[in-house]
Amino acid sequence: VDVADLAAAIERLAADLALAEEPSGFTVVLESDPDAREQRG
Amino acid sequence: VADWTIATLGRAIARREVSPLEVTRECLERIARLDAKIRSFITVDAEGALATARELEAELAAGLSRGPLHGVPLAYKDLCHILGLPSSCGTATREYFSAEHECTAVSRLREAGTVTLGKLNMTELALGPFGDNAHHGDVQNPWCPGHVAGGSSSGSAAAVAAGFALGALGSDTGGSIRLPAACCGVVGLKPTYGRVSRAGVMPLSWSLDHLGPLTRTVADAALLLGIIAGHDPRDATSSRRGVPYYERLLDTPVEGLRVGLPENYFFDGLAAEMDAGVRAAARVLEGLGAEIVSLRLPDPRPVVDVSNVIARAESAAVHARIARERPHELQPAVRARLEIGFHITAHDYLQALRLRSRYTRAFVAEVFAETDALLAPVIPEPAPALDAVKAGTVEEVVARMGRFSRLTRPFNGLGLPALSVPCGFSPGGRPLALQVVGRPFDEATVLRLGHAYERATDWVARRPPLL
Repeated sequence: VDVADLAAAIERLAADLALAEEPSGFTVVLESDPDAREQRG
Repeated sequence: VADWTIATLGRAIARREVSPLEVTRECLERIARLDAKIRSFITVDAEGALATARELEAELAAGLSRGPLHGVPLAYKDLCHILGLPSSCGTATREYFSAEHECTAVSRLREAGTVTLGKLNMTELALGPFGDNAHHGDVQNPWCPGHVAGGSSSGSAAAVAAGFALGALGSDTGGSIRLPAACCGVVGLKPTYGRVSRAGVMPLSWSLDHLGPLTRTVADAALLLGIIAGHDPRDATSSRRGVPYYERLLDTPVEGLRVGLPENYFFDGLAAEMDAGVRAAARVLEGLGAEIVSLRLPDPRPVVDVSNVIARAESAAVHARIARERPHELQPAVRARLEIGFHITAHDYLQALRLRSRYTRAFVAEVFAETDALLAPVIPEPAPALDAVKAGTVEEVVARMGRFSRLTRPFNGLGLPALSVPCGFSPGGRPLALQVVGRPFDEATVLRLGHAYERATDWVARRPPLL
């Protein structure tokens, strides 16, 4: 892993990132997961 | 001591069949007799442990019990701050690592009646998966000395495998609980990000760090998790979600659970015995009534790239002072991995954080719509020889580190709960391991599957031959 490779990966991956995607509150991302088992019934 | 588990010892102490002082003395005697070979401890606090054991014994004599952990001796990775004991974080110095408050998880375990035996060896700054340490000695694998114990919580896994402590805490930023657990044939749980407070633990990468237990059995991991999980005002990322009674859910049958076996990435390039061991474990769970589903996962490599950017940038920020002031003291591979972070731009770091949330939502929605848990290997091969992993140039060593942790790192980026459970031995006697991964905050299902597998096999009864 080197810096140039990491930067290139981020540039490629972020090409279609939504403007509204905010980096804060990763715990909230996990907490907000709806339980798919309930959806499956 | 080597034959007790936390659960069985706790019950024996409660019945007054054995006393906290007797068990603590036996652990200390065992450490004194054998740890020169294993190098699992950095600090042994014999005086403090015996004093605590006496207090706990007096409480029992007065009819007071603090619960199932009353009198159980534990030990902690040397990055958990414990009042009165030094922290080196695996470096040559103690100067940089102090804290105003004790590690919350340690405090909770102390309140639950445990005895602290001391602080455990680890990879320098928790930056490496092999457990080699130039300052405190390479931690030896109790099953096969001369081979890696795994890292970075190397001492935590080795001490439990060797029967020095009934359980331990480790930290996991890219696999540092699960990798040593897998190498040393013990159980290791990385909980969901936010499930266990990280307060009082030296950070490596605060977005990816997780604290969790290493134990001999899954039931013991459930017991410890039940104590250390839950919101902590000292850690802003800790969740306010309620904590289930994990140990009471362990025996719920696994019949009907849908368990995914990945078709891509996780079985690529595995050693044959590891591949066979994990697939055999899946068949055991199938025999218990779980439905094994073969599925293609979203490619984990972007998550690993994103995690690498976050981990390097944050670890360089955390350890800027020691990297600038004492670079000559750091092991070359550790210094090289730290150095990368100084050159990552703010733009790339922020994009990585944004990408992480998006990938996590997509992965969870896609994978757990079809399954209740995933099975995967933890390590690509049984514990390799220490000489082999340290050989070559710094670039070769760093590349080797990346390959060895490629199966655990995706779940740090995704923040999902992941359990390492022993699932056999290679023909040469080195442990094999199974990784069980669940949806966010569903440690109960992960532990339930691990417990069912463990009960259906006899791996947990085996002991390292040299001990």
